[in-house]
Amino acid sequence: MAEWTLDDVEFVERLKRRDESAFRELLDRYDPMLRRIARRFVQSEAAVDEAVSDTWIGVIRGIDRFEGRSSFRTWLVRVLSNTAIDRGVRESRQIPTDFADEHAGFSADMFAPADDPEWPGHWRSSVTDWSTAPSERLDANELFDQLRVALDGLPERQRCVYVLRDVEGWSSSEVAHALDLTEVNQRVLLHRARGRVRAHIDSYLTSERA
Amino acid sequence: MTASVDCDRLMTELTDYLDGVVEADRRVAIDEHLDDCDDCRRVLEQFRLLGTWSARLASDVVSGLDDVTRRRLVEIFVDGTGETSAGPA
Repeated sequence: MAEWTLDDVEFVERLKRRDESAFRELLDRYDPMLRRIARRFVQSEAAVDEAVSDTWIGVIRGIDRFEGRSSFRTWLVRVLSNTAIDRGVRESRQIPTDFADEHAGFSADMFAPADDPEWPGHWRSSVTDWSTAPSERLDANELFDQLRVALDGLPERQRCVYVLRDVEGWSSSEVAHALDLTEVNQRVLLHRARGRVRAHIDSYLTSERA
Repeated sequence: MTASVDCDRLMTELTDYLDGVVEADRRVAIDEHLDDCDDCRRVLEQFRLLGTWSARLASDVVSGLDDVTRRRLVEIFVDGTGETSAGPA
């Protein structure tokens, strides 16, 4: 989705003056985006309505405090994540940045050990070239269904980062701000998520059809 | 001098690499490794494909804001309290 093209500052001033047409414009402009993101955050259609309504209420309550230090959409998703996401996301801010033990979808047994005389740390078996997968596996409908399954199966924090970065195409600084993470931590979560999604899609593309 | 690049280590750095946040000399070493290593290059290509495919999920259809909730939200906005529930009655 394209970034906000109106002048955010002027627009926010209209909202602070309780300009009804500005609020209607805001709903038209951002409600579809919020719903789409909330759908991936909360994972149930029923919860989406509640999460998005609560977000708008939060926006109405908080608009006077909006200082324009972030883009509008970043602020909206920040309100959404404050409002809707399981508390677990926010309560465990400490994310280990050293993931030597966690290969994020890559397991240690995929690689030769460090003391391997010939190829230490190298791939034990070849990585699949996805472009050679059977064509029916690359059929768009099924492939995208598999991608949704992989995404929905991610741990919550990873899923939120993945959705904003790789589905919505946000920058790392926007995502970090929206989810109240450091850029380093959002990147760690993104990498783990990508590794898991890769593993899911790889096994889908390479397994025999059931 | 740059540290050698092993495949397992590189697999922990790919997102940093794609985000352009690895040190310049490390990037050179990684580029050299990718020139030589078909397997790591394939994973990189897989990450790029996943990015392209994932971006298409942004056009997934979700149900829109219903009129009742929309009216209530506008009322709450104009009213300025935000204290009432916006859910359908």
